[in-house]
Amino acid sequence: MKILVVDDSQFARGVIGKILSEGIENSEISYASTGEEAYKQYTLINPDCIITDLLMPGVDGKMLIKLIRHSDTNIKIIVISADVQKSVKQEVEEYGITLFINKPLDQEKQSLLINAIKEV
Amino acid sequence: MLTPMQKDVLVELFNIHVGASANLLSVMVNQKIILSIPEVELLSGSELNMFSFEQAGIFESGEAVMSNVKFGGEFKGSAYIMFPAAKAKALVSACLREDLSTEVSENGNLTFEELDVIKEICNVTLNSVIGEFGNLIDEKIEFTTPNVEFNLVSSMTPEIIKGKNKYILVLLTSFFIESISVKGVILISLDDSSVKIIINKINELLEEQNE
Repeated sequence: MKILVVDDSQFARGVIGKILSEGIENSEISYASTGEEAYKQYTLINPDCIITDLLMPGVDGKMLIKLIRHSDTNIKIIVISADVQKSVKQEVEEYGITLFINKPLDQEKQSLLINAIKEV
Repeated sequence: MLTPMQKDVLVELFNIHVGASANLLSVMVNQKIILSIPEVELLSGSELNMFSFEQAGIFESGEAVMSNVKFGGEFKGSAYIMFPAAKAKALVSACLREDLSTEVSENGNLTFEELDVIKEICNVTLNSVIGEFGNLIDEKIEFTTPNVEFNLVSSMTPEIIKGKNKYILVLLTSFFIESISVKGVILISLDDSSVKIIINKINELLEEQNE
């Protein structure tokens, strides 16, 4: 399974990558640190699932989701964000996402993430 | 400027929001976090001078790591989290589950990756506190990406916190991460229109309570 992880924090990318590589067999994980880079990666590698942060410099997570949804309504998108606002969660859910998880990822949230990806 | 009852409600709200934020920080560093009772003051620019960082009893000397996020929309201001620079490495090590014995005295000893960890810790913590205020007042808040700076404590003047705002609602709490002895502060400044939004919400809550 090809998964694209998008987060401007290297630490956050590392944490998510470790959870995915330990929780999902035969996962091919790619990384992007900006929305722009993520969109390029998306067009190149055609991932099965995208995991993205929201608050990033330049093209942020919301914009990235909108860009992808413009041409692809099928790909699964999971948001992992520090933003706890209900209004933000509702807004991105309207764009069509599979799951919204708040950082940091404790054991419960890690299981939620893995299970959601396995259903892809 | 705040009545004792308004202040009481605000302290309680802030307590809940900071408590939730400390819980997140605790998950990240895998350590118990001890919080102080928050102090809440609505101050004018000149009064802010009295509210020095030394009063928080945290930064006696040396350098501090300061991360801040600006937030906007109807509710706008800046949020700061600060802790001694000498403890930055220990905080990073706790987050990465590494040996906690190392301390550094200068930011030059922190790698780009370690600074990135600090930024992420601050991002999660501050987004939680401010985001919960957004939920409370039912307004969507837009955040900037966090900024991390190393500053001499003596150079962190109240003007930095105050910015262009005439009145500042200062919300101050200290947190202590027990096994690595990191003590820091969270400080939020808001402009006068945002203060009014919060006060209106507090009054609504008080009216509901009295119904």
